[in-house]
Amino acid sequence: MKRIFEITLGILTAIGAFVDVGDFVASGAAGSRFKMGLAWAIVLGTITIALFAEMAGRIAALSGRASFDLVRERFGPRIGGVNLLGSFAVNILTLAAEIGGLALVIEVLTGLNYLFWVLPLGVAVWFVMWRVKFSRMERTFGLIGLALLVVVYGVWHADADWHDLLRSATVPVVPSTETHATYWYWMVSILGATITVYEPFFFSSGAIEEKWGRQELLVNRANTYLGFSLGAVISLGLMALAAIYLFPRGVSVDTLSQSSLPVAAIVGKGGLALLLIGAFAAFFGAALETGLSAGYIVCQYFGWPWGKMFKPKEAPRFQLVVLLTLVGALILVQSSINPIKLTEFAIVLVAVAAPLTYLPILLLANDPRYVGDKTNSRVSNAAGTIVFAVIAVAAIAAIPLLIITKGGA
Amino acid sequence: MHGESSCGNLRVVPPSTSIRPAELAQQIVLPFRQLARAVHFPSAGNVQRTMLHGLAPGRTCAAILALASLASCVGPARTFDVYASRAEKSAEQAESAIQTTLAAIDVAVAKQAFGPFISITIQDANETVDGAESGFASIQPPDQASDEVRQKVLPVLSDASDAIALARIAARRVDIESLVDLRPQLTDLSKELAQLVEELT
Repeated sequence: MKRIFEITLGILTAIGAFVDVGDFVASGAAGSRFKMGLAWAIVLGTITIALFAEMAGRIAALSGRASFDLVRERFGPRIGGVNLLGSFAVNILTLAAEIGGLALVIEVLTGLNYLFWVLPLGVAVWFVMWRVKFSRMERTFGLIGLALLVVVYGVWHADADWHDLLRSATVPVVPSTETHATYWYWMVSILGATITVYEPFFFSSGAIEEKWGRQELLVNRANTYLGFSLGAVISLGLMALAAIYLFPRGVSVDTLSQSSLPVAAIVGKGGLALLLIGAFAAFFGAALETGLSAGYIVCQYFGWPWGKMFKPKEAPRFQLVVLLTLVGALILVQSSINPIKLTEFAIVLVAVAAPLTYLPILLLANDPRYVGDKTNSRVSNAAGTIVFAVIAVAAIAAIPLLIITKGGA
Repeated sequence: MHGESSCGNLRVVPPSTSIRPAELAQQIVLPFRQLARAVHFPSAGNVQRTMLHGLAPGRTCAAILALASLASCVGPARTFDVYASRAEKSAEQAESAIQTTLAAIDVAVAKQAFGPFISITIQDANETVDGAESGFASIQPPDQASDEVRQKVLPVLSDASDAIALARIAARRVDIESLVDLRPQLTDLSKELAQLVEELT
């Protein structure tokens, strides 16, 4: 019974923690411009992140070591270093975007400018990373993030043309007001928002923090395959609401308040409150994950003690890296860069850096020295290779598309 | 500098114009050429070796950031088509902002959201339309036909900006009556903008 409870709790946490500010922005924007024409990109991204997070979790549970530690050992310090630089740069941008997103949520709740909230939120994120236990931190924000399921309720109660919605998902059409370049730009953005670079590193490091072993492989599979898939329903819901309510009005989403409008109009005040609470918890959880990931990858690369399993004085470099990353992210947001533009930029760069993260994990999950007899099955390898090829193409196309479309304008 | 972007030598083609295949290919190749030049890749064949042995990460990051920043460049239009497409894009942005404001008014009237949420939603819409207006106003029309487009589009963008600014003030004061009074004006402007977009397409 305790085991079932643990698995259920893990799945629920994974659902609530799946969405971050990138998903919120990209799903709303894509839905308002292409209806459900990019739903397949969310599905593809979810399959990718589920496959690779499962591999990262399995490697950690069986080898007792986190992914980045093994990347440097297996591929050498040079390739590991390039990987570290790419992942760290994207991590700091993502952290800045999450904090900016949190500040925007408070702005729409209070009416006070978001810049006013950046520093207090930074202190709050740092305090939780410093003081709160790993499992409590992960579960609290993941479970509160379940409030985002209000978008599913909203879709259910929307007065929608279901046939048209389904048709736009199955037979994607680029509207006459858009170009093919913007369609592919938003496809790359959605992919980048879904296959976050920090997630596999956080997931594998979390497995070490929670002392996972062979017996946790089932929990690992349930969290990634079930939890992430159900979490993607929230992203699809955000896209569907934008497609139902904003697309017919010609509203093109480029603010957080526009993304939230359909829930207010369809569900009402209570629904809007749930949405904003859920978004706050999800963004806060993602800020914690990205902040900690920065510390994990740097310390794992250099072989320093890392993690919340150590007291701060036993892993001072880890705490210092986390703090400096947070300070860097706060400076970025406080410099009054538009947080939504920052998010859009960050998710495109995630798409650029993703192959650096995903290829080593695919190779490590096939190495018996690390995973023993639990190497990838043929199905996992085939699926992993196909999705890797797609993210590699997306990585090559991302920057040219960003320039051609002027950031998807 | 005529025909070049104001923040670099990269030609910027507006997204709403139809791009010819050759031009598209050039746009895709150009950033890579600039990136290769920035990190001193000796030749395509040596890219792999150079990346592993001589890569200066700081320069690579700087080059990528510089390329990405080009995404936000605003340059003068060279031809009528380019100018018209910029006008169309600006009108679309303004229409989106007006529709957002109308939706926010509906939500406010039905008491389906908190005051600050309505106020921030309309404030964001106001910033969008202001950006569209000032962005379009800063582009120099290349010929007489473009002058006519400018004379047609700019006043509507200005009216849209003024109307949304009034809505923003009313929302900040939680003055629902004034918001409702602004509805017909906003609806007319939305129709006018939609017509402009259709003419410019």
